Amino acid sequence: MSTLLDLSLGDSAYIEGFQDSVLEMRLLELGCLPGTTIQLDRKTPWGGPLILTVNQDYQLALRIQEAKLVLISPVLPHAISEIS
Amino acid sequence: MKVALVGNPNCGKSSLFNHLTGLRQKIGNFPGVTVDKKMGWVRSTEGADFQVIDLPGTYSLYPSSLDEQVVTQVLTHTTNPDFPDVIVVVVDASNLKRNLLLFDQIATLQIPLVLALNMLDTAKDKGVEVHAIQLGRQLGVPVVEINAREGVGLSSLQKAIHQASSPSSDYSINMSHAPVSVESYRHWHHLVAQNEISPQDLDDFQRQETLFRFQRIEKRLQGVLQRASTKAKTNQIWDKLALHPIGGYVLFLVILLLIFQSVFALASYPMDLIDAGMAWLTDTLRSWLPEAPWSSLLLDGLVAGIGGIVIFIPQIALLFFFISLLEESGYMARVVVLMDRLIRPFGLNGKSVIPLISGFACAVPAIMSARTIGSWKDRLVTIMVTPLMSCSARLPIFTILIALVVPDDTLLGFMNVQGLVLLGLYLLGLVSALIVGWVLKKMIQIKEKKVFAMELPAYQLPRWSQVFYTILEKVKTFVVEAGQVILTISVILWVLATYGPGDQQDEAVELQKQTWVNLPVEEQLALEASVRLENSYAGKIGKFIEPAIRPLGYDWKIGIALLTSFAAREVFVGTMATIYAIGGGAEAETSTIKERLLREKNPITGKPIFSIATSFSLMIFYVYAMMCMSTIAVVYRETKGWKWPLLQTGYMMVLAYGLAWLTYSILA
Repeated sequence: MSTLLDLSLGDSAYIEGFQDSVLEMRLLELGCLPGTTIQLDRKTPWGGPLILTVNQDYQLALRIQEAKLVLISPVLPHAISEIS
Repeated sequence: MKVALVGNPNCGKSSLFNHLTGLRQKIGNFPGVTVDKKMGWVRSTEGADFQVIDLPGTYSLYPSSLDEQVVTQVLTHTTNPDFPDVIVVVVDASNLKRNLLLFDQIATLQIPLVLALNMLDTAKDKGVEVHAIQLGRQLGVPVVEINAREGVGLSSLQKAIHQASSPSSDYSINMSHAPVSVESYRHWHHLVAQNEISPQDLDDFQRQETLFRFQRIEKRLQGVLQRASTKAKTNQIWDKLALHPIGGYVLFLVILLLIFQSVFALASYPMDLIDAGMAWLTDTLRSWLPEAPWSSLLLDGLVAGIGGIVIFIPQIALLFFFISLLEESGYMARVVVLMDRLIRPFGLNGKSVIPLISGFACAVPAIMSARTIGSWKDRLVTIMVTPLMSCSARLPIFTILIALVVPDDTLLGFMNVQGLVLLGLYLLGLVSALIVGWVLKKMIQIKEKKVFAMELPAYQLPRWSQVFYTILEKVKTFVVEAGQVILTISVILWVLATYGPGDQQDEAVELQKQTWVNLPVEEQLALEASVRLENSYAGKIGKFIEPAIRPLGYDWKIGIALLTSFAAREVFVGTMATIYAIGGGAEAETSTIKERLLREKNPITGKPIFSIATSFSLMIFYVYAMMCMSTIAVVYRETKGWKWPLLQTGYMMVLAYGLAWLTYSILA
């Protein structure tokens, strides 16, 4: 399973799921649904938060500990593509 | 009619509020919670006047902070005094899908609704085109295009507000797989509040509900949104500098130094003016008013107290001018990200940086600016340590004590020893703040699972009007809230310093009068004042506490100065000047405070009172001691209770006493 921490700079992927429900609720509100594209724009110095672009709409900062709880997939997750 | 403004953070809601209400705004409190309520009145051009409430920004009706809880509370309880007749949901068109989640939730409540479509220009810059008419048809509510920054579209918005009705599209959430049958959103929240649903079920429901709503939004947005090719992102270019591993910190440091410099340099002019103005006012009033206790109370108690409040305004205004510039431009969010990792070990949060820096000028606005910190624990730690940053009121005390005992020599050709000691005192405060933060982090038992996840707003040019409203709001809050306490304490101190038990003051004056008969009148008056102070309740208390402060190297005279400066540190120097006029006799007339202090001898040992040990002990004491009523008042206000200000005053006093004692013991 890859997480947001596995993204290289400038690369994007699809959100697949979350490993923590508090974080999940917050990110869902922020429009980070499974199947949404997410791109790694920048890493901040000394292990600071990651800067990401969500759905090409806006920038989001996530702490490393949070980013590793977000599962990603290089292709549109199967379950999601069925729903939509 | 009551109208509530609701929307995501950074959607332009506050700009719209300011444009709608202008100066007709008022800050109150929501009953029972610590969140500020911004209210205003709109002189409507399109019908009857109405009242507007600016509700805190939130991403959904599931609250994750105190601010957000207010929104849910107000909107889901028809009996709430702030329950609106019409809701205006402000949405950021450049980020439409995400913004519509909150709209969808609110539409379920079946309250008359208007959608204000804001930031269309930003959307256009991103290559996103929104068809407002189609959007309105799909959503079943009136959609008004506005530009909140420029104040465009306000009369159409007012017209729509007056004609608003419940949404005509379907917003129910009939989810077969929901854990319980939910007739309405309101009912659901009621069940959650009654603990009839387990957290696990709530999570399941919230997840399903959010996905359900987003699917509905997605469906309704078809044909409404048109996305052209994505244009270059200006954010990326600026972020390259602002978040650079080295350049980012250098830039931040330079900006801080500029702010620091400006606040000190620029604020001194209006502060001198206020000082002179208050002195003139006191003199003028004194010449008009009869000599009576009540006129003294008015002048030395009330007017002096008001002066003590007003003198802070220039620094507060300037600080918030710069802080709101940084916030409006979008840079502040980057600073938060830049600093977050570095200061987290000390119980602080990226957002603590601004309060800490502001604390070098004045702890009062600094503590007020800690409100932007979402996590209550982090905010509490920030509030608790901010007064350890050496504020400008400590500067005169440090300056005079350093001048007394530190030689004006130069080290290595360029470093002034006095300057180095001063710098050392500032660093001592800063390091102590970090250490105390680390300790508090371990001690404060607040279990909150807070997600840092933070939206970074796009960079933009600040709007002067928005900056102006921010300054106005902060200054108003300070004057009204902290001002009340400062005024009360000033009056109490006046009573203690003016009156003494029985006739002791008069007797003491009579007794000593013969020794000054040959002195000029002004000198006599000054000496009489100091004798009266010595025999006042404050003087008695000073003598009473002398045994307690003797280990620190202080006598009862310093004790009086400590007491009077409890309201505000800067009073210390003035009190010392008054009280040490006593022993000076004829020489006192021509000597400065410094010379007078140097002459002061211990009556028993015959050694100077202001030895190196006593002076350093005093400096250390003032680095740590919570000698500031305004700070205590503002902490009381920000934490809504006496627990934290008392704890804070306690720990600071213990540190002040302990470390001053240590300093004295080592040096003496």
